[in-house]
Amino acid sequence: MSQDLNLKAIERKAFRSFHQDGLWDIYIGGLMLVLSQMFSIPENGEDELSYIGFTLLGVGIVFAIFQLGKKYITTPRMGQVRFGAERQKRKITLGWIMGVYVLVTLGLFLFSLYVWNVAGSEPVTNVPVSPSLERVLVAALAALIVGTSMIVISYFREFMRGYYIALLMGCGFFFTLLLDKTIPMIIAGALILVPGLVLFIHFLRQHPLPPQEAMHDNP
Amino acid sequence: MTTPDISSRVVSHNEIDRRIHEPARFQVMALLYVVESADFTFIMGQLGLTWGNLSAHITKLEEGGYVAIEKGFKGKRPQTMLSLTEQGRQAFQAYRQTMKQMLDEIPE
Repeated sequence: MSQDLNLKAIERKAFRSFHQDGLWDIYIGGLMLVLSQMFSIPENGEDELSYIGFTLLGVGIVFAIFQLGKKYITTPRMGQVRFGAERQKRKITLGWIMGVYVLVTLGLFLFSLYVWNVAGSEPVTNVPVSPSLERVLVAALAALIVGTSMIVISYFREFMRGYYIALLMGCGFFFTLLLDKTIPMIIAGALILVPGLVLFIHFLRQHPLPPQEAMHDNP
Repeated sequence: MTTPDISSRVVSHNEIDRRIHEPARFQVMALLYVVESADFTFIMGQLGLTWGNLSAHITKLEEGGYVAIEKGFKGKRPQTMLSLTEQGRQAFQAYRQTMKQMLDEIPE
């Protein structure tokens, strides 16, 4: 009986089915591609505001595609479900952890600003750090923050492809910052985005819109 | 006089809840048991049932008092959410227990 009726497996299958539309992959891949523009700002800071403006616009467009896709494409095809208290608890926990991540990232960003702008060329510690090692450290730290935050999201959302995405995100950030080239981030973004598009097309084929009565006129 | 040991008595096939025993209804009950509520489209997609088929099964479960139908609106769209009633939850637990016991009684 327990083999025939694994209730946990039924719940898990229902929960994970929400990731099969590929929209998360499209969203994250799109974000990576848009954010890569930030690393192509010329050294002299020329057109810096335009780059930032386009990046913010791009982030907004990618976010809108994700939200509208979920609302008008995925939900009508997949339907609505409310999961139990345990899932709600996990969602809240994830919210708290991500909040801490944001604070830590913000703290590191402010610290970097202090080091670059306030401290100037004066070393903030007595430990000698060569410029190349500094670059490696910054790249590793950024990759670590981005990669681990995606791993945490994947764990709490049971998003299995998220671990692969986390690896690509980490590598994309690391090599972009290390080499000071946008191409690693573009490659990582494309490697996340393209499978997402394939999944999305597959999802549309597998999930046609249900009959009107199923959506509006239940018994 | 001692209390009879329920776990060791033979379960009669008459004790099986036939409203749940039908495979599609059993699947619907199992799905609604693990989520708080779901709409028709979600259940159809998860179980691979057609609207007509699911509708008939839901009607049966509703008649038995196992499923509650909550009609409402999400924005401008009508939304019908289905959930197990307390009676349905208990009936499903009892069904599981009965089936487990019955299958355990079958010799290897």
